Amino acid sequence: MIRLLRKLFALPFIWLGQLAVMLQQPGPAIPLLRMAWRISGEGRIGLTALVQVFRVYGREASSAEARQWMQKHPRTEVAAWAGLLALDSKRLEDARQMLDRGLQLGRDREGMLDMLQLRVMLVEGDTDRLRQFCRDMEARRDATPQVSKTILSFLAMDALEGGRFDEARRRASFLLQVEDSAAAHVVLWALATRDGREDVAARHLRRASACDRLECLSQQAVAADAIGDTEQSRRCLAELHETRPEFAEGMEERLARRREQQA
Amino acid sequence: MRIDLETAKLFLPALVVGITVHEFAHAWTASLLGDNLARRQGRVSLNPLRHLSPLGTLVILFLPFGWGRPVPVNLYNFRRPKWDYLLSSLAGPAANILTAALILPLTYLTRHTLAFGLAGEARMVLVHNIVVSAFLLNLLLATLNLLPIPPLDGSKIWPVLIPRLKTALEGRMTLVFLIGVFALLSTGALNRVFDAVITPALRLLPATDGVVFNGHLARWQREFQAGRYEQARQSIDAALAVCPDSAHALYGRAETLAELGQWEPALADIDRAIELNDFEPDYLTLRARILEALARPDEAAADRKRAELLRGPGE
Repeated sequence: MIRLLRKLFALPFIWLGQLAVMLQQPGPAIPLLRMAWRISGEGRIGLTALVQVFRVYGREASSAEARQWMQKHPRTEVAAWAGLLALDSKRLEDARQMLDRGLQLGRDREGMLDMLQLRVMLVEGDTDRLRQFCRDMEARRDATPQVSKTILSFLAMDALEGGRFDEARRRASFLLQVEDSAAAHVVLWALATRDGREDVAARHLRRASACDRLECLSQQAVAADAIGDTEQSRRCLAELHETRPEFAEGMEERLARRREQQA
Repeated sequence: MRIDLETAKLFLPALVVGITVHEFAHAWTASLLGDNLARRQGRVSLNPLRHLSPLGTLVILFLPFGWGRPVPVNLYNFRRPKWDYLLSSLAGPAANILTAALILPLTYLTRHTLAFGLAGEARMVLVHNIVVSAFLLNLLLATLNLLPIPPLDGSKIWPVLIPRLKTALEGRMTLVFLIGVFALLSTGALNRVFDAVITPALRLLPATDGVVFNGHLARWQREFQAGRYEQARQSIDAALAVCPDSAHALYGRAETLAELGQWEPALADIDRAIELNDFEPDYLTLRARILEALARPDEAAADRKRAELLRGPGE
């Protein structure tokens, strides 16, 4: 009853705040949503406010406010947001702490915690755990589109790396049924290259590059390595080094880990 | 912009029903087809609070329509993304059409607005009008949502059926289209589309007791004035069958019976009419005439005197 009353009192602030967000006016949106969050205590509202703080004042301000809120009124969405911002700032330990706190509080409806867990696992690079997590998420079928796309792309590439080519083709084709995806095209490029179908491979590579050039390069580095074309993999990494060194480093780490696991 | 509480009173329950079943159908169908995202967010529910958008509900104060919170759908969770998305998008308008079909019998049940006499008529009319509004609004919601304008369902349905049509948009463009939909609705530009659905739907609706009664009464008046008293009697009998407590209809039948020379039954009717409304001088004058015909001059004189008093010196 008290929760409902709080929500009712917060409604005008939520409406006005969300209206301001819709009209791309973060200035008035922030105080209104902060007020709505204080009254209602709803993590979803807190998250909307924190996103606006991020837009106007940047990552550090939003992160500081999220951590402050977590001390007073811990909510899963706020923990997930704080964790994601920590990851962006390369503070993996903070992100892990926020993930643990979020998992204690329970999964959120918006799927923010799933995203944090996925990203933490991607950074940690434990492929077996990540594969299991992705398969569990896939079986649950309740992830958000963003999380689904990431886990399905990972599973497609993982199947390619594991030599499960039929699975890789099926997963990549499925991804493309929903929307164009650089990762899916790169997987199909690798499979077509492996089968010697150069024209199909070239078409997929063109489309992958058109989707997202950086994503294409980084995925191509992994995919080329998976089909034994280490020279192509090196070329992609070199190109990636020139444009986005941090991406290239991440990919090199991933490839090194895989080689270690294979060894 | 004017706040229209009368319209809101009629349309709010209809809107709550329409939006709830619409959004529930999207969520339930998506869940059946393998996408549990809406279920996770608590949207596979017939609880209106899970679906109503505060702004979309408040707008009913200004315009005779509203909207709910869109149900989140994740195409990656479907087995056949394109077709399952089509089915889950179609489910909302289909649910509105089904709801309208289920509400239609209720309009027949509530048409007897005089079932509780004249005293309860206003309340019964309100109930009937709410039911009729729910019927029409569900049809309107289905029609509106089938239009290929983002963010309406039609923008997701038609591109699947017509591959070259690309209307589903994201972000700011959706807001632009939303304002466009508002403008189309507010200016009545879509009225021709709605009329194509509403006009045949109106033919399915029953006439209420009030409408039937007034129809019989109008026919009685025409026939009485034309001197066709037998036909006039049939019409007024039909009117009284719908509303036996109408003083005006009882007066009409007494008048008709008097013209037919049936004085005793005429007296019974006018007595009942005066019992229901004893401040009507015309009723007293008619009774005086009937009493005179029945050779009861003293009572007739008393009625005439009272009628004159009620009319006042000027009349």
